[in-house]
Amino acid sequence: MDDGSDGAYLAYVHGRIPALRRVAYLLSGDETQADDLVQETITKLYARWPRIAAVENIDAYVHTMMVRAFLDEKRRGWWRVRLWGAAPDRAASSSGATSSATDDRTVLRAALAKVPPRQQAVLVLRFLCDRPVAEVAEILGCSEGTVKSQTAHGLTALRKILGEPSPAVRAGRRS
Amino acid sequence: MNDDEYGLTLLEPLRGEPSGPPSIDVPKAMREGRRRRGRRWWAGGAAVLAVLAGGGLLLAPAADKDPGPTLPPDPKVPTSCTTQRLPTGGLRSVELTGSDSAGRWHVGLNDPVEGGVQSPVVIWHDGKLMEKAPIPVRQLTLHDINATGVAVGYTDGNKSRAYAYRDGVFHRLKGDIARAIQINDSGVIVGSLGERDAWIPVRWRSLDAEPEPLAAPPGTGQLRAVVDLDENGTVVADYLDVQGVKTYLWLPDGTVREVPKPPQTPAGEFRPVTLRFGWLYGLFDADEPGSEGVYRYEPRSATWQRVVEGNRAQIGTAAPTGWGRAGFGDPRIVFGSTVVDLPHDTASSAFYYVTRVSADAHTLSGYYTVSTGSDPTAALIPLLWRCE
Repeated sequence: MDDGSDGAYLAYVHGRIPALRRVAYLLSGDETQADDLVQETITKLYARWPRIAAVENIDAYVHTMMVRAFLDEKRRGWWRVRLWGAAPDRAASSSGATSSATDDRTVLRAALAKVPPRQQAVLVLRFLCDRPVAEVAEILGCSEGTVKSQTAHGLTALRKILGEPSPAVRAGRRS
Repeated sequence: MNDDEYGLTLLEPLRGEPSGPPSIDVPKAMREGRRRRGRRWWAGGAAVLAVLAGGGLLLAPAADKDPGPTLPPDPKVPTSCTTQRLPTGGLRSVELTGSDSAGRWHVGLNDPVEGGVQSPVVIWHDGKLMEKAPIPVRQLTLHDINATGVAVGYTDGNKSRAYAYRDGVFHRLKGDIARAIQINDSGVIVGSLGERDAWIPVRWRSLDAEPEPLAAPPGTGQLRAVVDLDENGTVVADYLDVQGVKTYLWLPDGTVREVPKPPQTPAGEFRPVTLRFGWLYGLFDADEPGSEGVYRYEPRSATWQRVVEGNRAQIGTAAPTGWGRAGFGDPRIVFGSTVVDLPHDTASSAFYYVTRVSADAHTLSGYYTVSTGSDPTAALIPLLWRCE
């Protein structure tokens, strides 16, 4: 980054909005909330821009802000919105193979919403955003070991909620 | 299949892109960001002196020459607890969302995945099922209940509406877009009013009253959540600001006080969770490992204590936010300043959530889920722990 000017901010933000929006959508599972997360993130970014424009890895910094905004939003009960979204009268409105896939996603999203928030963030960043452990650790401000343990705990939680068998059993069934 | 392969396979169906047009407003972000630049994060007041007390870190004002402030007594730590599964009247899955201060009344919601968008609310008293009432509108959850069995809550979605439930009747509270979050035994309700980025904390003095704004100091930022209401009328809420989160207390004497960050902690955020035993409990989430944990703040003496290191222990929390209600296979709870392991079924793969601790610390309420191995929507089973 060259300086703390509005021009540099605008150049940075306009170039990153699609990627930020995608990560926000994967974190939240909801387009409205995703846009809210990006809006809050770029607002905070502008407020801090004069001080952080020269930060070396500003992308990680911005993603940290967005994950924190996501964790904040968890407190507002958005997870329940996803449960409402999985409620029968909506699920029943679809049909055929497409509806089955949609229902699977809805149920999986509802289950993910029941996993503790930090573990959700780890699972999404690692397995949907394809971020390596070290990068997730940097974004969350924790050690790589914590990311690994949160991954294991999060998968265990998700497995319990979904009533899934263990990965080994699952692998055996598919082979 | 290792964890990584399993995670990728399991979550694969959730991959996707937002399909609608973005509603992100960069000029608005710059305007709001410029406004936030004008503020300064609370920089701390008096110097602090740290002493160790009872295994916790006690921080008291350095100016105090006496042995220390008189702090509220901790509740007696129970020596044994037993579990009681609450009846659900045939509903397979019910989330216990709130309880009164004495731990006698509880309110819950039939899991929407089972019950649909107008899932019935469930009310218990002294362990017995009292009501199973269909909600009058879509997506209404009651989040708290008081000692007379009056429950309050709000509808989810962008245009929340606040409701109360009394004697079998739902009442719409005054205020357009509003959320009723907590009610105390005096019938005072707190919540928020507004929409999107313009929420303000409010108080209803009765079910028929107009909402009264809870005045906040200028420059508090954007309201994040009204978190809890104590029996003495104290309200806690937090705001988002340029540097993170600010917590405010509205005290019974009418004053408003900002809660500073716990002393001697690195950069991070204190997140208020509940008012209990004369303290404000919350989680400190440090940017660097080492200082995170459960902390508590005593408003009269401005005393901080760190009661749990790390975020493993969950603490009894008000239901509206869900924050701090993370579930565990081995549930633990803070009684005053002591962490107690709660009895649980070690043979099953149950996962426990504690919603509330009663004021006398004898009753805990919550729920658990059990993997059935075949049902993708694991049932939520409401539960009490009776402790002596």
